[in-house]
Amino acid sequence: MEENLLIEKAVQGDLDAFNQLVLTYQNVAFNLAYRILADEAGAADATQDAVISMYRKLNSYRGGSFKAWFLRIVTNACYDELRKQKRRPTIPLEPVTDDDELIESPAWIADKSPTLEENLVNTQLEEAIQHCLNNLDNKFKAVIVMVDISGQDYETVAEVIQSPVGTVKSRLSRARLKMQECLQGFRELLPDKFRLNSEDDDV
Amino acid sequence: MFSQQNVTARDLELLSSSLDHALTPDEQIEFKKRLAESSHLNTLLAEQRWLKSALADLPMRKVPHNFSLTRAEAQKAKREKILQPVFGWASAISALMAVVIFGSQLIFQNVSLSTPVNTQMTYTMNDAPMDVMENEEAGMKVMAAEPVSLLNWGYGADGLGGGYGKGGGEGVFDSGGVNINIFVNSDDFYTVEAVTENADSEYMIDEFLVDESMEVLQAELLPEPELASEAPATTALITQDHEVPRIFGVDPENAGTVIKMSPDSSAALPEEQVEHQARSGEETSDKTGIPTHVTFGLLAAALVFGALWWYLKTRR
Repeated sequence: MEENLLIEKAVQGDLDAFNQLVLTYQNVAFNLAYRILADEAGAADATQDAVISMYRKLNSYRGGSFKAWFLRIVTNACYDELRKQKRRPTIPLEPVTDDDELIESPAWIADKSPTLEENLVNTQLEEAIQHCLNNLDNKFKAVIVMVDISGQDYETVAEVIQSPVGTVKSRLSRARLKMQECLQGFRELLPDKFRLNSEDDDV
Repeated sequence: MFSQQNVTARDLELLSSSLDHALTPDEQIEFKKRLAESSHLNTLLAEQRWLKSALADLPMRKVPHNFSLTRAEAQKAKREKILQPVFGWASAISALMAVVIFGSQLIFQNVSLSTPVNTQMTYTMNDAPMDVMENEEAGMKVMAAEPVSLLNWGYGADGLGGGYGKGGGEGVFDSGGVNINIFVNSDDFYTVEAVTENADSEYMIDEFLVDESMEVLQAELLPEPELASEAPATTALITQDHEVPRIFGVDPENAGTVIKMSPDSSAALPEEQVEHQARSGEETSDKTGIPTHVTFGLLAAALVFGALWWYLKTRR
């Protein structure tokens, strides 16, 4: 069914049409939330909150890209979640051995499976990238995630952050530069030519 | 760290846009020119190209479950959509009303402070400072249109208090054309007013006659034992505890004389009544006539509604 028709029906209160729209965009919404929050459970909560919020606000939808509207609500839900986490920082439960000794690196134990061992470098690189993303300001993080990870165009991102395209370009440029600088802390994961360049720079 | 020598913010923006193929023809020319001039910019371009591809290659997470809404969830969402603004508005209106009431209280307070204080009609001997007495006297002089003749009973007026057992301690005596109004209000407070009705009321009244007539009157008007037992405890205390009643504002040297005074202590309310009114006023209402508990109730309502609004807004 055409998206506009679904939107029209959803605005009129058709729950099935609304759910169809949700199913269309939930993947991109959840992954955006996951990259912003770096936490799968938190991302699921934020996405669910965004869906409920979107359902309540359907009457205020004034046209334009529905995906951008949905992603804006998801982004705001993520910011809310980040604020909550800042107010109430959670302490992860560290696994312990039978002798009550702390297991320092449960992720390393999990990586022992042959499949993951093959992809160890990629996994570590993903962790390094996520670490650098987490260090970005929210406004930069949202833009680089939407453009480089979710593959959204500038116009959509501008609609999501409710700013001009020029702002998107500027934030994206700074976000990429910061990411680049941050990843220099993980030289062993970078391609050889970048490692050499980095070392040369330091010399 | 990367060195950013000879690389401007504009270069970085063009570089970033070139990665997304978002350069205009003019920008493309400008960027190519810059690339030719700066080898470092070329290095940055290669690194950012790699970064972009690395970000794009990050694996997409599979959604843990569908995020579509059930009928029950949808109905709940709609209910909360109604409740949240209701609580929000209720909180705002309550807070506004409380602010208006407090504001009007402040205004009324300022107005009443700026007006002369003539409301205090009676004073106790212990509490009344001299300046207040003088002010009251001056006020009476101004306000009285016609002076009235008062009998100065002096300090010898034993046992006048209590009258004939009215609850408020008011006694009215009629003796040979002289009306004596006595207000006995508390343990240490007495006002005595004697008004002559005769034309020659300015004559000196013999102290003996007055005392005698008072004794007669007292004897006649003393309550029956049953009535006395029904009288309030304050009346009994007044007559028993104060052997020498002190009369406020009386010059002992001129005791027994009729003096000219303006006014009008007869208008004074019994102190108990005044105190009761003041106390009840303080406890239950402000100067705007709105009970204080209403104001605090509004504030409490504003807080409760605001908390509910915030809860509905922020909860999952």
